[in-house]
Amino acid sequence: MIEFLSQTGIVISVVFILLTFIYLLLLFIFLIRIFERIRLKKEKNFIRRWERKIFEYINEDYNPHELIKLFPKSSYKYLLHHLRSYQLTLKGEDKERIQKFVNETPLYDYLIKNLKSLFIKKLIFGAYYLGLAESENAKFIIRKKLKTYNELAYITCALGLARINDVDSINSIFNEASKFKYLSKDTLQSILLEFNESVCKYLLKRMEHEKSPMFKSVIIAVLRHFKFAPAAPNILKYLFNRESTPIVIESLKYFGEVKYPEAVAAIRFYLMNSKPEVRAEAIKAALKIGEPSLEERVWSLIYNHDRNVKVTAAESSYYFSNQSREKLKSLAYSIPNTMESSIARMIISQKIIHLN
Amino acid sequence: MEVLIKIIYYFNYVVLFYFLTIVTIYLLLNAISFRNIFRYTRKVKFVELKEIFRLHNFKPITVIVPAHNEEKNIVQNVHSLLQLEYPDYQLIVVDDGSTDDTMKLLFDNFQIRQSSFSPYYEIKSKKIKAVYLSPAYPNLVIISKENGGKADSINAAINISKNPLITIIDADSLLERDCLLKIARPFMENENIIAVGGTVRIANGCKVNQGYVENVGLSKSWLARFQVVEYLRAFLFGRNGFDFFNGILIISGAFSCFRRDALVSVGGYKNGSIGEDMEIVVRLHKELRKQNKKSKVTFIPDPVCWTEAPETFKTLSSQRKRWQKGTIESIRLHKSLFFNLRYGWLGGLIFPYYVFFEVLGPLVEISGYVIFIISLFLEIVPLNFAIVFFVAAFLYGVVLSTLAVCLEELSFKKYVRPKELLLLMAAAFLENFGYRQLTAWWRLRGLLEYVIGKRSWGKMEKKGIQNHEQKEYSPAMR
Repeated sequence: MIEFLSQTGIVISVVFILLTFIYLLLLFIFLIRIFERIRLKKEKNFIRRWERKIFEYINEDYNPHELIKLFPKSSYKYLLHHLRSYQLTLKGEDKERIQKFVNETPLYDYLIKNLKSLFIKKLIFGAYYLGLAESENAKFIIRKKLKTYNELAYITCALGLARINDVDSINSIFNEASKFKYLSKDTLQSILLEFNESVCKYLLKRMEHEKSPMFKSVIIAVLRHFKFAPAAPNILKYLFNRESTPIVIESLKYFGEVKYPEAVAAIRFYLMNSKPEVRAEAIKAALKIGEPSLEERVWSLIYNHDRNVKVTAAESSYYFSNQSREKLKSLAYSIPNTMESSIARMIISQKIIHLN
Repeated sequence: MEVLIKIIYYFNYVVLFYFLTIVTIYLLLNAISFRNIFRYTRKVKFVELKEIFRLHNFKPITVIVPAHNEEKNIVQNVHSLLQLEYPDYQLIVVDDGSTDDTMKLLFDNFQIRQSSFSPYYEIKSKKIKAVYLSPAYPNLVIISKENGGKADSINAAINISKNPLITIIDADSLLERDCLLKIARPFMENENIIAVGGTVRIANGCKVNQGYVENVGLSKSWLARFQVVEYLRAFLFGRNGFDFFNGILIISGAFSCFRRDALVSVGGYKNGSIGEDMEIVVRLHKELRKQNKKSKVTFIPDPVCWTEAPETFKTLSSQRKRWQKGTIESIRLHKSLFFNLRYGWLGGLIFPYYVFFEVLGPLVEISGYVIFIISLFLEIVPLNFAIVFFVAAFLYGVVLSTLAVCLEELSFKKYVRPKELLLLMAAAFLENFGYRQLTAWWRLRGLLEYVIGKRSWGKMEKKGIQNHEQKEYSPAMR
């Protein structure tokens, strides 16, 4: 074989292939770096030249049409990129003025042209900046573009619709999301949190028909964030129907947040659930609701076999009532040294030190 | 003599086959890693890490810092660890029987008071002498215990830790401020995750301010630069590729995160182990996959931790020998995983990979060089073939290192100055001529020392972090 390899020149060919590959790799790395530097330089020059004008515009020294005339079309990309930070940080009238500048000038047409492009990169650019400018008029086109097989394009369009607060697109956002196997719960939550509170009733409707446990738990998390109490009866059903663990955990968190007294029976039931993470969440919900009838059961969980449940129960007992606190103190200094007394000592000593 | 020539002749084939196998494996790992990293960076681009604060969807973490004679860095490190971005974390500093002023400095700087809390020992560890808490820093806990080593200190801290997730860091590690937000995410996304590792980078040459890396740079030492490329390759390609097969067998001791119940269920860290960070991960795989086949150890490619690399041959050789001994020890202790298909890819592919390419790799590599030279003298292998084969092997090494630099440039772009990029490329090229062979030699020595029973930890000299602000990471001996 060695003779064969040396005679046929296969190894020499491999060497040449490797050399070419290294050369191309180096070239590629240099090109990435050069393009990045050019972009940064242009951006820096742009800021140096135009930042003052934008401030003057915010101070109402210009109207949007006057201002846009100052910018050549070739600089729109940098202009939008620069305006991004204003839109993300400013609030109130200042933010509205920047959005007006994007929506009522040729910048809008420029973004729509990008959004309609067949190139995914341009589509993403258009959807992102139109969303950021909360361009109400663009929502129908963005909705159409949501139906894509490119995950990144989907995320940007959904985020755009959320920023515009296009609540009618909720169903499309979920329907299209199911196409993407790797779309994470976090990503979907981040998108939905960009809507304002008015999205809750639409989410509630969606939740009734939703089959995916992941989507259901995302919806409950968002409803919890907005403390949307009208959803409580529906979510309570999930607790009684013994849905999957992520839904139960999210539901318990929800009830803790909205402090829904009707959930007490369900919480009592889940305090005895076989899964420790569910029991721990039920303890936290019980403490937040502050229902006295749950106090004894929470206390009993200090003797649960799972350590995390023990710690959660001990910490909650400290806050539940003076009576529980005293019981925790006597457990802490009881003999013999058990895991329960050790946990109680840990909780008590931390609280005492901090009170001192 | 004829028999010897025949053996040498066929050994060349073994080396050739070995080389081609490893080329294939690395190419496969490379392809997987490119895909994984792009997927990861795309995912995190659209998720604001601090959403965690808005939704309260976090799991509390206990950060454990074992410290033994760390008087030079301890105050600054604890201060920087108290500023990590995470909604709920407890910081436990374990003074492992220090003989210097570590404890005194902690007393003076953090207003700590002894608490009445005595622990319940869920896992075995040396006696905890006292537990201190600080009214000024509610999440800080300091333990003073008898000296028992790093593994023992971690076990002691686990015994008093409160939270369901445990992050273990070295006292001289420099962390990214949002490292806990990053490392905790996989646990929230998947309940089967039992441990998560993050990417460790080299801090030599970086500018450090108040315990955080402020400007990423490269050291003036070529030895450190070679290690930068080596770490990029190991973390961006190696770990990422193995992650795809749920086959991560090692998480760096400089920064790792575990589920507390998982650690307790396997009895914590193994005392007296040479490579405790690998041993615990292999044991977790072995024990917990019996109970839940979906148990997963995973990895996040984000750079979360910066560590000091040795800049002298002596220290580096000691480190590499220790790593090699640690690998062999972990493999030997858990040999039942070898080609054990009950553990899926881990038993069938990854564990055998470690045996053949990590444990025996240096032996094959060094003997390959020797036999190849002998073959040339005995004219078993034609000279022209030998030269071209060597060139191909070196170039292949260059390709791998350059790919790692390329992936870094496409994803995290930590080295921003053009000079650093050029230096990295130069290091990617030069490390194949001498450095790689030298590390293979040190690893072979580690293997031989382990076989003859010389299994001590060895001395690790580190320079440590200076307590001045805005200084390069390269100060006084510890």
